[in-house]
Amino acid sequence: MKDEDDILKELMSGTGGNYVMDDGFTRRVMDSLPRARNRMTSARRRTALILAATAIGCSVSAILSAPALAEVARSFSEITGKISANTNDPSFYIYVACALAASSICALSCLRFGRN
Amino acid sequence: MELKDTDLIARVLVDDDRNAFAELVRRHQSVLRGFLRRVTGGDAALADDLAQETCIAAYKNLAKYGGASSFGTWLVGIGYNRYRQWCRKKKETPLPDIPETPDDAHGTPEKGMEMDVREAMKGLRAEERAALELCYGQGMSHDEAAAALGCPLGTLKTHILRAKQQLRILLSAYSENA
Repeated sequence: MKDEDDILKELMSGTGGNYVMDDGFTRRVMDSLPRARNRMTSARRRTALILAATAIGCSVSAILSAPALAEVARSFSEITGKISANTNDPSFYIYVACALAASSICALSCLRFGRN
Repeated sequence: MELKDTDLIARVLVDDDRNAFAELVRRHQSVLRGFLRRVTGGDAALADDLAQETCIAAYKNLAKYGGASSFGTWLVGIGYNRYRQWCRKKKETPLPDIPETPDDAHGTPEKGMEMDVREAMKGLRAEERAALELCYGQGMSHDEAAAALGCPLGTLKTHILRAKQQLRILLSAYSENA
């Protein structure tokens, strides 16, 4: 004679414990879920904040230093004029390489900070 | 490597990762729908409607899942509450009777005794049916079933005892034939 609990388990797992096939159930659930919450991940949010702050900072500084910018542009054209006249000077290439390295380091740091 | 339920839940909560939620549904749909089919007396269409509502409610309230029980148990608990809500509504607006022949997805022939138990279970109270199904059909422990049904352990044991008393005649007949 079997124990009452064993019989119940046997009978109920026979009728109700069978695996129920998905048959598109998951897809129906996913289709009926509320719309995406449109939440940015924290990393994306941080990157967006950095970019926005940079853009705002650049704009403000450009507005505030508008008269000085003209002076800078004039000086820059003078410098480039001198440089073009002295491209045979080896120190010119060293300056260019340093400037490129510095800007690359800045760009990589920004990318890395934004990803984390 | 297969992710744990807790990892998937974290992805849904942090990134609103719908693929992670789909995986959770895929993993637990069988237990949930099997349970609801049993407590609704084999009405597969009603059980699936309730299961769908359950999953949507789980998605909306996922942040409230505290991890005290497994995700499956939590989901079944929501399913059981949905079923009780449906029962309360049913009292107000009569719905068609539960079909005599349950809609079986696999089409496997039912044994006579199993059919008798299925019929006899329709005569049980909803909470007794749910308790019996969770403990014997789904193999949950008494603690897990009590957590899923949101009742104290003693109450669950009482439900099981009463249900077994009502099924005793059937069970003793089966026991003698076995």
